[in-house]
Amino acid sequence: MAELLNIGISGLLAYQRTMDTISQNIANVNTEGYSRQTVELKASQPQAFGFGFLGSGVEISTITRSYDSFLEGNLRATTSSQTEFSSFQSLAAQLDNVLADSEAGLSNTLQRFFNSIQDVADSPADPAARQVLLNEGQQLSNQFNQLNSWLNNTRVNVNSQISTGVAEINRITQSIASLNERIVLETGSSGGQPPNDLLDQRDAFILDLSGYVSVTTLNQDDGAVNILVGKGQALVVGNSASEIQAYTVAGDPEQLGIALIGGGGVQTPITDQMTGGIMGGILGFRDRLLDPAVNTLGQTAVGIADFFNQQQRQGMDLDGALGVDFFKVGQPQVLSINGVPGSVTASFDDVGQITNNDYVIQYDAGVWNLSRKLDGQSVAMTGSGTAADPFIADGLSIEVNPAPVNGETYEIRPTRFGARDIDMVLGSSRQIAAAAPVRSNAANTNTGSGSITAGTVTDINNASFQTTPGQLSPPVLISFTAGNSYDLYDNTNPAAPVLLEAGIAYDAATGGVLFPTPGGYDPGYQMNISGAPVAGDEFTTAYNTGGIGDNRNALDLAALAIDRVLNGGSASITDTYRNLVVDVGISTRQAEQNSLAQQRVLDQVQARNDAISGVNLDEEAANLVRFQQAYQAAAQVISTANSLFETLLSATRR
Amino acid sequence: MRISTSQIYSQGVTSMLNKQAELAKTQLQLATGERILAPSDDPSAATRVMQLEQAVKSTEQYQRNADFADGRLGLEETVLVDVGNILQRVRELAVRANNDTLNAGDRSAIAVEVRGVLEDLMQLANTQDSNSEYMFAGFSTGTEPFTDDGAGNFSYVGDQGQRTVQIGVNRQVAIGDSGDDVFMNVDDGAGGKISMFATLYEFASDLEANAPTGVVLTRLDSAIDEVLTARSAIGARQNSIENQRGANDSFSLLLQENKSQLEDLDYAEAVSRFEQQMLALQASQQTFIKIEGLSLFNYL
Repeated sequence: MAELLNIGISGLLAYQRTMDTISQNIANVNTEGYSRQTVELKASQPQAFGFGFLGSGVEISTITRSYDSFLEGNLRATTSSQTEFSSFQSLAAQLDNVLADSEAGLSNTLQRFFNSIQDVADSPADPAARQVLLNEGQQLSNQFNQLNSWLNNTRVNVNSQISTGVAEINRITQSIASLNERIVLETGSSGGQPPNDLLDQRDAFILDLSGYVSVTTLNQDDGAVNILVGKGQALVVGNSASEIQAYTVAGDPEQLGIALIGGGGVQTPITDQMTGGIMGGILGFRDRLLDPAVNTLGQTAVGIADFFNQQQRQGMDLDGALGVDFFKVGQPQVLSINGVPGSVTASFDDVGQITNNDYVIQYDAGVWNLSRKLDGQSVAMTGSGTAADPFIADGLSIEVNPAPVNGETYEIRPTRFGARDIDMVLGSSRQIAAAAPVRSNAANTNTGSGSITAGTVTDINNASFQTTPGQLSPPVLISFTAGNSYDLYDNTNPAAPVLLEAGIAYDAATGGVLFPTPGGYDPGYQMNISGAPVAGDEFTTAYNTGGIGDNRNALDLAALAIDRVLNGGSASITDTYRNLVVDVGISTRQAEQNSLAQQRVLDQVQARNDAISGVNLDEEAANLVRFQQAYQAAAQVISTANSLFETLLSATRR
Repeated sequence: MRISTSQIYSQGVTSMLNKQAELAKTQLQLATGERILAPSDDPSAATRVMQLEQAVKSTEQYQRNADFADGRLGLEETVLVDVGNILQRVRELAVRANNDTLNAGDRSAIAVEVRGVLEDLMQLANTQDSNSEYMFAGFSTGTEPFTDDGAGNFSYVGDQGQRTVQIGVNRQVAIGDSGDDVFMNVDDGAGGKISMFATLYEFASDLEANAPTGVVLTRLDSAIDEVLTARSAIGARQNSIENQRGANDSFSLLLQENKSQLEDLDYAEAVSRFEQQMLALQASQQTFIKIEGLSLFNYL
């Protein structure tokens, strides 16, 4: 009879615990990371009698949580890639939107600038047209500066997200370490029973951490979990977490790296190992989209500034002076990663050959090696790196530390500051060099049909332009001695020309280019003679004094709108900008699509995980009914035992 | 498969949020009339649109240049017509002056008129355009190109430069002629060259000396030819400008059409998409409410 009571009580207690667990499940139906718990029942140890074993009721063997470690691992990995793509995408969308805005974008401003050059070409002496070009030049450089600062706002955003991410990762790893400690303690003190709610909490933290960075977990026998990133850098070992820190890379305040702080405060850079998650997305965005975008914008700015300046210098302004620089050109940036700051310098050798890459130059085993930063591909250099004979590679001229030590490393960013530093530096609209500094003349006394073109400059640094401002040194006289031959004279004194070269052949059928002559005389400009001159016909060249109505150089300036001068002659200035827009657009679109696809995968993994671990209220309601009935039955057993006892008492009362 | 209660809820909410996002995008497309809201929507079309836009703007500029060139050539043509008229008038006078019945008084009266039109001719040759540039000075448009020392020596201080402007991608047209070519290089009837001004000056001097020569007629005929040649060159350039303008116009139209095809919204398609997305959102909302209401606890 006592057995009956005991068995009944064991049932009551077991079902009460079961219903407690059901109500715990119901209460945590909306708790992130909660795993449904189940009470595992077993029959108590039976008692042996002569007739056999008599059961002694029910007892709880353990409370388990519904959990699948494979699915949980899947969930972490998928979360890492989903957050990586989505954080990349949301930053990329910011760039995309800046470039999409036709007011903010560069296309219109570039087009207006080039159109205003055409207006100057129409009326080169018109002060209004010149002033408009000057204003458009200012607008253009402002627009480059503005766009650059908008792109760099994204960099500010990147840096603040890195700092926030680092703080979050530290908070999470701290929590995981202290949960490890409690789990080890509780598991030990309960004789190996799992502390389900603590395990759930820890899993939730690890999942959070996976959202920031891709991690590897190692389960320890004592119940602790060690957390590693990248190639095995430990963030959590047992009950201790290693702190990470954002730091400024190589003197560039705009570039943050991430370091692991080890014992004794030693910093190990782990920026490259922060893959996946929000951190992987941010760093990937910075390295693969933002930096190239700023560089391409810079390349466009350097391209237009340099080529415009070159052409401007080949021309002559309204006051008859040779053209001067129109734009300030942003120079390459050199960072000392591991070396002597300032001992390596870089400048542009040929802007037509520069790329939007950043480079690393390293002194190793007695040799300087140049490679692209993003993919490490090595780049061949010519020259020896001295001031007299600098290294030349990808349009850059690099001068290196003459006394290097092995391992010296510098980062070269050719066009990072191109868009930031471009500025219009021309003081007055009169300085716009619309004219060419040379012109030609056919003598009125000529009787042949020969004609001469006005001429184009091939080398403005030639002595004929540079010796005395405002004149050719010397002007020349071409004097035909026969229909197929002419002599060349220094015409400084037209009354007494001095022979420079005699008997230069001429073919009336093909015409001819005047310079350089067969004898090698080259005054830095070219003119074409065509037709059939006869003996005695004369042509002269002169400085274009007073040539304010000349627009030859303005036409050449305007042609820069479509001339393929950049990327080794494969892209025009507007092409490079358009490439930037399309690259950002494609990257953003890819990130969007990847992010969506990963979200779908994540949803599926989440659903599979929920199918195991999630709480379903209908199921809990059904279980509640089931165990309530069992509880009532057990209570009925006690009631029966009671009435049996009553029966016995009343039987013995007589 | 087991489904957790929170999953039912979050699935419903996610599906509603996604549908709302799609709806918002379609709404923005309808509001702006643009199919491409950011380059990432269709990167290749977006870059093509940029290219087309640039080509449209360049073509607009070529049209402006062409208008300018046309105006400038028109002005030159007007001046040359006047020059031609003057030369014709002088030719009539020359024919008359060579008539033996005229006496010295008659001839010096003609000489007065010739000197008068010589001044007119100088003024025409030194015509300035609306920007105060001398039209026949070559590149040296800031300097009066034709000078006269008062003793019959006329000189040209301009140069032989000729300005061209861009009226198409690969097409430039000259918008003027050097005064040297037009006014100074006239056949003098003796194998050399003489200016129109000197022709008139010498003619007047001969008249004043009562000794007109026949060569003046030859020279005037050459001068008139010279002017006609220059005018026909102008006409040819204006024709070519007209052709280029036509080509630019049709090119521009084509560009606009292409651009519109790429970037403009197909309203019929967008509206029907909008309706569809609205319907889908409503369906999501209704099923969410229905499913959320289902619970075994309702029956306990």
